Amino acid sequence: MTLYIVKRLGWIVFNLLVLSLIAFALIKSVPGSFLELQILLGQAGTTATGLTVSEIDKIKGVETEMMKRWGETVPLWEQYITFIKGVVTLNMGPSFRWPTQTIEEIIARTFPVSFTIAILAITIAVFIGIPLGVIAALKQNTWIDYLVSALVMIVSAIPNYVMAVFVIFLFSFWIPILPTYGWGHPKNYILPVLAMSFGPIGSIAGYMRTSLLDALKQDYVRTAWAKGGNERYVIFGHAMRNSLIPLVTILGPMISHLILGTVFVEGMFGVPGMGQYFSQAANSRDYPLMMAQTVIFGLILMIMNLVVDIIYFFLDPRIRVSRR
Amino acid sequence: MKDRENKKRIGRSYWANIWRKFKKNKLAIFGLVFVFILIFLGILAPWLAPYPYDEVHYEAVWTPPNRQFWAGTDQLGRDIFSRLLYSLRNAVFVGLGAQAFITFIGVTVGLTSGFYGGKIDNILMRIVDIIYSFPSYLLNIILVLVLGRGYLSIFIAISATGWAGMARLVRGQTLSVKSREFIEAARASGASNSRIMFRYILPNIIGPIIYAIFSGIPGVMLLESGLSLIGLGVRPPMPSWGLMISEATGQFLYNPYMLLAPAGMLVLTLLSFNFVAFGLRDALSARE
Amino acid sequence: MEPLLNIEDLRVYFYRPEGVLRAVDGLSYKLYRGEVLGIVGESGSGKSVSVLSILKLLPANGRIESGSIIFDGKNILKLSKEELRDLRGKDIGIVFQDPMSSLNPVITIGQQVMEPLLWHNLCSKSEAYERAKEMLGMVGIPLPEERMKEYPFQFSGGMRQRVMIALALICRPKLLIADEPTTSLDVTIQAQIIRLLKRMKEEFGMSVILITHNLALTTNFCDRLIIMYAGNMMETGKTKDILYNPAHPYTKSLLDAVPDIEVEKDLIPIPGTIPSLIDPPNGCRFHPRCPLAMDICKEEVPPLFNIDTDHYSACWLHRRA
Repeated sequence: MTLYIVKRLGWIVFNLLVLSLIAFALIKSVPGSFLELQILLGQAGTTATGLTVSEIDKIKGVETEMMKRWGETVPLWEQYITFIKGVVTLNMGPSFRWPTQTIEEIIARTFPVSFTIAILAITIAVFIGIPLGVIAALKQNTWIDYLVSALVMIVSAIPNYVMAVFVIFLFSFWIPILPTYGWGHPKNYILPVLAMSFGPIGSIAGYMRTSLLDALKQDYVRTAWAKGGNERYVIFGHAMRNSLIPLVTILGPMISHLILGTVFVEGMFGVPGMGQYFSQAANSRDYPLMMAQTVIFGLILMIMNLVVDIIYFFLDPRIRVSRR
Repeated sequence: MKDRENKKRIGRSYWANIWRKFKKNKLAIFGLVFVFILIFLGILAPWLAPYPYDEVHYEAVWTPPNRQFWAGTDQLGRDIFSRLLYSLRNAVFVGLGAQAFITFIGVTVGLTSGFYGGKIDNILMRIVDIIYSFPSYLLNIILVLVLGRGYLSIFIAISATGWAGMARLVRGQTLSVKSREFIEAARASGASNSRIMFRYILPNIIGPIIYAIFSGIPGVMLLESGLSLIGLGVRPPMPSWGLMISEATGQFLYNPYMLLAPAGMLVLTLLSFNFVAFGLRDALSARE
Repeated sequence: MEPLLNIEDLRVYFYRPEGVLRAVDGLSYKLYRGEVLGIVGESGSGKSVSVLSILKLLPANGRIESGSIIFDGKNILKLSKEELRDLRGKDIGIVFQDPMSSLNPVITIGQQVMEPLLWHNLCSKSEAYERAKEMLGMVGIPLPEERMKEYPFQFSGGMRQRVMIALALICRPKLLIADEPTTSLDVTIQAQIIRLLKRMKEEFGMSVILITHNLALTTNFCDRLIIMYAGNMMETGKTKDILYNPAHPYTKSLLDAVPDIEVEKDLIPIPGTIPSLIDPPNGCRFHPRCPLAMDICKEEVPPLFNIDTDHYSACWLHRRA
């Protein structure tokens, strides 16, 4: 088991290196001067007005830092090495777009936000989606089933940014109870999390329904009935146990999907998360930030996949015990 | 006599059976019809649209749907209905185009990997694994930045990460068919490797591939609208649903139809493809 | 003496899109306490369906159309859900055909064997544990204490079937139904399982219904036999009588198709295939394949003729003109 984890971690490191190389190469090949000193100086100029002396000094320091890392005199491979070293030591230098902040500061501040939203959304989706799916399966082909299945299908087809608008409309204008914009209060979490959770609710409910219906057709369920089980024992004790396990396999990719998907939604709600910073970085060509975020996102994705695999390992005795 | 009738039913071809099961699913048929209608409308958009998509009517901004502007107008007075049609054309083009790229690359890699096995399989699947672990949205964004905006770069960006899923599927299917006897027979009669791959194996795994295509197209369309939502889609003023949605969110109170129209069309399109995909899945996997 | 199980004119139909499938079409028999009854027939003869009906374990599209099933004085078809649940696993135990799929792969063997006791609230958890251990030992599982914590995939096919028998018998039921218990097992294991069933019967004294398509398995175990074909009973009687004095042409054909280790003979398969149960042949359902078919066989369903004490056969050949 530990050997497996070590091997996986090794692959994660390898994949990340490949990813960083690709990201680096791609970004370096963007047409136009990579180090847009003009932008930097221009920004330093505009931000310099109204700043204190020490802040201007700090920006001057930023310039030299930038030249050291990305300057045109530095050979490419050295730039890449500095980049990698920077990621590993968490010292990645200042961002283009926000020269007064270092990349690692930005990421440290924004990552928890996105992550929290994604985790909350998944939690809600699990607690609502699983019961919905179970109900639909148990009342198969009745109006309840059709209603749930129809809702599920429609909801999964709506992208989360559209859902975001509906949610805003519903809860901020029609029934004005929740704030749409702004941050800092737990109340601000509600709408973004809600908007992001609809898609997963749909997927989980649909999957649960199929999975449970499948399990109920199996022979071992017939054996359970034959042993004198009632609904509770047979459906929850036997069938559900089998159908919940494969659910884990779709939760992993779903969580990663959600963490990435915040890219679109955060803008709408003014959530200061990684997604919004990435899209703004993309728009203003803030390459160092984009590269670093890509690698960090990649790392999160890979770790989540590993965690899901480990959880699955513990849940399914067939895999766990065959170490004999 | 009755026995012979039964035998006739069993003797029908594989595809006829699948089509029969598919037909029974009314939603799937509805979806399929709708898909064809949408593709048709999309291709003919330039001829069907009442107005050019960028023609402004400053005297009629934010009008709700009326006789002149079937879906109302946006903040610059452009006809939303026409823009919807052009967006549809866009979406169809990107959806089918990118999916075609993905299918082409994915099938080739998957077939090769599954058929030859050994080192080639290992290397190719390692590459697939690596791509699977990448944050694909981000790479798409970066690729579009690198390649500039435009249809080709969107195709490349989306298919650069998207082929991995198809490759894995095709490889799995190839492996399960590879050991069947008729492949042995084909080899024994001197068929070349590529002939076996494309004339023998491929026709037998087409079912799941078609399903993957139909369930992949909605994903591609979502990606494309996501890209245009953050301003990296096709060049304006060519409209796209994502672009229309991003323009509309700020103006929701002035003209809600600005949002409802593209969002509604997007959802309808996605749903139709999804219905077809569900129908296909049921038809392919139903065991008597 | 009151029979333990009395089935009268049972008809079980399946509602399929292509038509109504008459799996069991007018079956009647009695089973007495302490008796071992064998139901023999080809696939599709309705043998499994008839016993699944006793516990109402039919798939969704199956329906008990008509007839009556009386077990231990209770009318099964009129029981409430709770009363039926009370019978299942406690008064009637059933062993299914495929032990591979009949056990839940993610629950321990011990738990699955304890469940009938726990679900019927017959004893405490710790006592159930002890009894399960004891039962597993009785069915021939070595080191039951350790194996109780294991999962089905860690057992071989024969061992899994022993586990099924253990959980079917753990509540000491009055009736044990074994639905083709050996069909998916190796030949060498088959004999072991039948021997185990025989031993259990001698130990606990319950009635047994053994369903099989293999006549050979019934010879040392069953007291009486029922030969079924296409949903109807063709012949019934004491095992010895049927094996040595078969009356029905179908039974004779079955015996002709079984190899005999002592006598060298030609194996004569029965020509044709079983008929469609959606549109069965008129009259005697065996007539299309029967070498002795007469005109009346094609038109009228033969009743059960009494050939000898306790020996009946449904064939027009036995009609005294």
